Amino acid sequence: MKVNLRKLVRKINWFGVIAGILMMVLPFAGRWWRLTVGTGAIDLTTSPFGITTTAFGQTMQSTLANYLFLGATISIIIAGLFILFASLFPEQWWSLRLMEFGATRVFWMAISLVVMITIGPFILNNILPGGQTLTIYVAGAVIGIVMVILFKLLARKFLKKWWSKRLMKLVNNVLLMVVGLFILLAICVFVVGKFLPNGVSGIVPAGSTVNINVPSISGTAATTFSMTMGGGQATVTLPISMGLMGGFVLAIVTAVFNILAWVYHPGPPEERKK
Amino acid sequence: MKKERLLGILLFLLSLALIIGPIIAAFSANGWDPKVTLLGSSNPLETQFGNLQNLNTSNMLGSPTLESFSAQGVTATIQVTSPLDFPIKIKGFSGNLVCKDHGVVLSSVQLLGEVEFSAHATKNISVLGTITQDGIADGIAHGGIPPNIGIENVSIKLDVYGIILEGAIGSA
Repeated sequence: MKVNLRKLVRKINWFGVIAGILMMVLPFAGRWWRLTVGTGAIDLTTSPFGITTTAFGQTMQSTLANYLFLGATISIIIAGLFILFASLFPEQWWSLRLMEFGATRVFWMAISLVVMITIGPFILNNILPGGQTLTIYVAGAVIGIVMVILFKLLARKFLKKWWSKRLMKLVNNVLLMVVGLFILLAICVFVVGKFLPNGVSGIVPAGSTVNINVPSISGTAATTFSMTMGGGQATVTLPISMGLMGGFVLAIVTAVFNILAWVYHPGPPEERKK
Repeated sequence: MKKERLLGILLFLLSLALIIGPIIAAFSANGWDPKVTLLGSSNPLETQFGNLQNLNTSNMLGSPTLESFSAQGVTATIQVTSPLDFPIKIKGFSGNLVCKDHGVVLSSVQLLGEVEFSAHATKNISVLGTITQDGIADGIAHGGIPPNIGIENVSIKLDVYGIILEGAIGSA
């Protein structure tokens, strides 16, 4: 009996146990990112599990966002439970399926947030004012696609171990996302070039100016624009600051344990022979 | 193999349900109204920025009263009413005091310091300036402080929750 217990403990995927517990804690561990305009004109803190927005001292509510965040919270708790079970019983036929259900969820949530708060400001600061050419974005997308194909071919030829195949799958998916981003940026450049040849300055009334300056990920910047105020012309300066919050650190730790758990997870014996 | 595939399908359906379910629930909770579902029943950004259009001299400023008027300087008080639904801070205020009887500029005045206003508050602000040559002549013509004065070319710098609005405000 003693020997069996030791054997059982040795088989447990401990990375997965930690990852599963962290996933169940994560939705309640605080927000990941904050955005502030002025000193309380707009205060926004968010994570994939919730958002709090106040504008001019009033709380803003979106039913759709609340329900989607609730769905994400339930989904991550279920995924955490699945990873925990899969890690405790790694040789069961269902363990790999359960592991794969949630293993990369937090990773993609963290990556998506970083991408949004990088690409969004990039589009606002660099593409919206106009004058960008498509070349660099199309080239980026093409190089990305070539790399994905190349990696797939090399992986098929040289990677034999199940963990290396999983790792390569993740790398390929990240590369595909990068390709998608280049395509998105190319579309933005095309749309701005086609419909806003003078950039955002082309759509503001004559005599008005817009100078967009938004920080990315973390930092402070000020956007200025002119507007009519009671019949006169006024300049509006919007100080914008944003930054990552404590919850994001836990998300990164969780994502690392998730990836380790997934890459390491042996699964049932027949899976390992594949 | 079959049960693995079945589990795969069930997990896929679970993922799908956790995305589609909340969307359907949110829309049905708001009577399938897309605007209310997305933005809620009130949008403070829309209402508060609309509010800024109320910033104009006829809404905000009362007639100035001269407190002192001499070669040493001009001091006047102006009654200012905030037309906004939220607190603001006047960080800068400048304009020309004019004699309404003779249409001459008496002094270019400005606010020293800052003044805070709660929503729809009214306060008297003190502005200071130096007298112009026309002002001296107007004072002599009136035999003292001109009785009927106004303020023109008003420029204002407002702090609205850290957003800085700066410029000339109109009279409409």
